[in-house]
Amino acid sequence: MAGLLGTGPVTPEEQLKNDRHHWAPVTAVLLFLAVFIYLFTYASEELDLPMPQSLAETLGWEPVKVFDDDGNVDSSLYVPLTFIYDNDDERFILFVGIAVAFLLVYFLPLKYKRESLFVSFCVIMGILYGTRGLAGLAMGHALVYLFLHPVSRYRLAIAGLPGFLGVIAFAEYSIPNAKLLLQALLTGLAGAVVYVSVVRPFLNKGKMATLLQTLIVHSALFVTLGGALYERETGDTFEIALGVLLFLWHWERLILYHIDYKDGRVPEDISLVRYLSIFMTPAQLAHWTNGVSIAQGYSYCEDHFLCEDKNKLVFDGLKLWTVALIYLVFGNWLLHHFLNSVSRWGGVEFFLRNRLLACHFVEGGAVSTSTVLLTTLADLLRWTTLWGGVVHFKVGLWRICGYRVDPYFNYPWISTNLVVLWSRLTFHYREFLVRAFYYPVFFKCFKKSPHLRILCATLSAATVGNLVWGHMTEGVFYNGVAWENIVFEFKRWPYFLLLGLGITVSQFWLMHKKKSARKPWTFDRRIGLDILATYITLQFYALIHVFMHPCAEGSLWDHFRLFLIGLGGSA
Amino acid sequence: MELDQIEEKIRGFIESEFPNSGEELENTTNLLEDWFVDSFGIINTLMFLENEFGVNVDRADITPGNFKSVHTLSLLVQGRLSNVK
Repeated sequence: MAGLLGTGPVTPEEQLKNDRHHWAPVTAVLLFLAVFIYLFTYASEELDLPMPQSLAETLGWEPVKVFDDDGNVDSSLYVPLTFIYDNDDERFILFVGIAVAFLLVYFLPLKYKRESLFVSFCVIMGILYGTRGLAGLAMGHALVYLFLHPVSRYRLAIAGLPGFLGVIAFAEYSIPNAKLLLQALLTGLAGAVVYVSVVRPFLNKGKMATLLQTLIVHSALFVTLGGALYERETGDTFEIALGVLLFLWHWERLILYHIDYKDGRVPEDISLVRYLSIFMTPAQLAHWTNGVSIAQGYSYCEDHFLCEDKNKLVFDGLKLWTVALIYLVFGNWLLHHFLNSVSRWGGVEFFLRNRLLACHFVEGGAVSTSTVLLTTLADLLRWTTLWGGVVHFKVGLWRICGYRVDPYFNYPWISTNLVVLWSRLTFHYREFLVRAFYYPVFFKCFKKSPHLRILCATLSAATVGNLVWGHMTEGVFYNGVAWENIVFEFKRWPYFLLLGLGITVSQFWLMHKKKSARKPWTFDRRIGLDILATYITLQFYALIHVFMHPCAEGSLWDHFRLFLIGLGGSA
Repeated sequence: MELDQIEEKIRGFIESEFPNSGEELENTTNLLEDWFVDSFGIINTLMFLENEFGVNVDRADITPGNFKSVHTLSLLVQGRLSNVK
């Protein structure tokens, strides 16, 4: 299972030792990408090859919920927030881009490897999102860099970047031209003057510098809150430009970078390109809005780059891609048959989504405990099937690029308590919550009372941090900057509270239980207890999602009654 | 407090809190591989260090370098104890 601390710093000598070429992993990666291209794009049609659906039918396999209307595999892996190409073409560009990025990072000398990932990212992103999208994203990061790592003398040109990129991102133009370039250069120059004369002096003053840096790192939160308030007061829609939105999606990794920065783990003189290479790598591109905390902040990336033989990392990545393929191709098909079998053999009525169950109940439909329990489990299974495919692909891609990134989604189905489940289901996000919210409370409050200390730290992370910095911000990015979207997220508070309390109780149990060398899921006479503990853990986690997916017409009391029915009560 | 005394106490704690039948715990055994199996193991160890030795531990101390072995944890504690004096 993924550890909390990783392996520690890796030296350039160790990285060099781990950087030996071999043809087998290179061939294997290219073959895998060819399979991805065949399954998830129109390439087979262009090459006059049988489409995946035709091939499956020729082999006598005619599954449901695998292929889409055009004959290739219907995939939850896509490139979101861009409207230049259709999904299949976007995937084609992504897979070809990944192939080039992989070859570069694999074969280039060590000192150019991470920079090459950044360059590959810029090229792929420029094609997928256009110049504006790329410029907006780079502008956001350039601003953060200038606030965290003040520049002077020969690096002063960097101070002109936000203004320059801002014009490219926001100005009205159809194709870049000389006038635009001049406008961008002048704006960049003006921005550099403002930075040197107004901003930089404050960055040398302790508390003011801390305040400014915190404000810019938490810009995602302030933009969503400010924009929503603006929308409520004026009734006007608050639009976030594409590139800025893509930058804001980096908020969790940015906060983790800031924590590393405050802990003194980021070199003060880090170059802009090295800073950007933390955030802008090809592994960020696939399904931008899922698994946004994968690879965490600065120190995690530093400690995990080529910390093992790169060929082993590549093969580990390919194993994850194999799992991703199983989820992406067979996930919905397996889920469909599993749920149909359960329904047929168990005779229990259930819904595919919690929201359908909640609305049925709100409209006066009868609901039994078994229906609530099975529906919530089915919904969790449905969601994790989508999730598993995407995050396995993303973590696999990080590994193929040379980073020994821990699995994000690691057999959650064997978790015997909520602490373990939280780690196995969503490892990097859990790390974000622990480092950003759990530790600050844990190290400051109630040091004399372990139980109160753990309760407050857990509620701070799993309830407040998870709701406000995790879901509220994300909900607004998905659904639009509007006050009602923020209110909607806050109406889900019982889920976050129950999750926090559940994890707290799990920690108390871990503190006081009799310690044993036996590991869970060892095949002995106590395995029955493991199965029971796992079912209770998963069922509790699934059940509290009745508050996460509410029926819009229902009240909090309606959903609380549904929750009680799930616990065995009556309506 | 001498380093070997600190090591003995920490080793005793880890052996009782994280029993691991597959491996004998030495002062230099890598704890990050098999012993701290979840994040709560780290939290539990931090609380032990604070209570047993009366030292203050910060978030920035939670690093692979400090938590790598009984020996590195003991050096962290010894460093804090000497700062108190």
